[in-house]
Amino acid sequence: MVTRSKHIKINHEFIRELTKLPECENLKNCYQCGACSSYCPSFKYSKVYNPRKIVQDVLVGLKDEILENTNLWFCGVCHACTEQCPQGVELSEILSHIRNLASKIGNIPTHLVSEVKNLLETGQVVPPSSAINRRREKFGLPELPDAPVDEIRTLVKSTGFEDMIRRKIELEKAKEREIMEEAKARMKKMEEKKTEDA
Amino acid sequence: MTEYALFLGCMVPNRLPHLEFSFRKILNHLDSNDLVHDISGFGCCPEPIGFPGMDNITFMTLAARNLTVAEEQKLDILTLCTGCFESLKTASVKLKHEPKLLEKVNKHLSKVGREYNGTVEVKHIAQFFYDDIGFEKLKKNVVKHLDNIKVAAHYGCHLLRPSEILAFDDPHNPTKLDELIEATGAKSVMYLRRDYCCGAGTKSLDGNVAAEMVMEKLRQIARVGADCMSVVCPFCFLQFDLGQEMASRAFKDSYDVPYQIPVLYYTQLLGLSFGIDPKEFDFKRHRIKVKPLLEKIDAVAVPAV
Repeated sequence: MVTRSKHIKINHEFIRELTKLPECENLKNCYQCGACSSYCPSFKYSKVYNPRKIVQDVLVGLKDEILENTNLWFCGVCHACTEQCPQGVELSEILSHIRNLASKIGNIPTHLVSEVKNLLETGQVVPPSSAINRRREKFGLPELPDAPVDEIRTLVKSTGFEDMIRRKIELEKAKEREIMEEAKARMKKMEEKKTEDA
Repeated sequence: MTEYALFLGCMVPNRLPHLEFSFRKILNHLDSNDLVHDISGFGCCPEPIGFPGMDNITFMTLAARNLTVAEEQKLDILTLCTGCFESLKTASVKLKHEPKLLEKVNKHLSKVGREYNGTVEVKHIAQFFYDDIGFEKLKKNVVKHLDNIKVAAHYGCHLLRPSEILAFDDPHNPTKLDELIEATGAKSVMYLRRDYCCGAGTKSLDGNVAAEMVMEKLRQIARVGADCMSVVCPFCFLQFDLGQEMASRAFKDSYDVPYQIPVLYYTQLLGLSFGIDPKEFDFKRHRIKVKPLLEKIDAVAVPAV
């Protein structure tokens, strides 16, 4: 790893690691034409999510910058980039894999953490509600069977997913504590200054 | 005939039961109830936007678990949601062609006493109507030609792409949903940005980005004078129905709003052409009023010969 400046770390291994994976092997075919970004609705409206730029950053080795960037999650997984790429780069697969790596270091948006909580509690991302069940009855729709919560819990434990999410939740709590403590320290300082002034 | 296990997913049964009702009503009307079975044991598909991004193996394992549930009963899977379709179809295709992945997934599945053997096919209801029911049967049941309405088809990303895996239709110029719409006698109109995303995937991260995407589609649909939209996914439905109302409010200064383009799930549109009483579909649940559309249909609808 070569450090070019104080802020930018170049990691030449990153592209090698990625291209070893079958879904990422054609990554180097990218010649930065930008067809992906021009068809990307998230790029058009969010202005902060740019698939072409992410590939460029991968090619030059800005691993940390990519994985720590929360804008990665603006991808709506519409796969337009993959369909449009003239070089056959499977962009949505590659970006999905990059998000896998980002998740491992705790870069997961909070709405997905709540999704996972729903899944582990009810077996579904959009949980059932009693009001809707009454409406179902009115329509004469069949009663919904129970979701297999136990099996789902066992499986996410087995794949290590549960641990990853737990780490993320703990990370968030630690961050909250840090912010609280900083605020408390600031308050204390202000009060001290007040008594000094008095 | 292939028989299917109905995979309801989460959004349709738990938030939009009127869409589920419309599908079951049509199935009943076509006397095809014996093709589709309700079975228990399915869990979350899991959703194809966040889960593969967080951890691909977990995504594959949970999807494969659902496939084993259908495999046990020797049934294929039929979905009402394009999201469920993408998740389950992707898993079924990849697990069929990547033995190493299958081995990995089966190792996890063994912890709950399951094993997937790669035999399940996954279909979305659009494909089901196109292939299994067929146009002859559909057209035979049309008693009210919807000749005087123009419909804007919205396929949805997860029905079309990635086309190499989903293999539903040409991803750049799809026609199947248009053909299905035209089976009712209605005209399916072309518009710009037909293959654009509804924005549901970005809604939780930034509501404004999602609203912009909705507005872009509606602007193009309004330009060609469509009377309504037809969708085949509950997330797209919610995005264009409730989302249309919210986006119209958010952009009241910058677009020709409010738009009032009713959104119909495909089986609701089909139901209207089958002469099913609109009251049964509980259209008052839609945020964008369907009544003007129904009035337009009734104004000059020609009874089929």
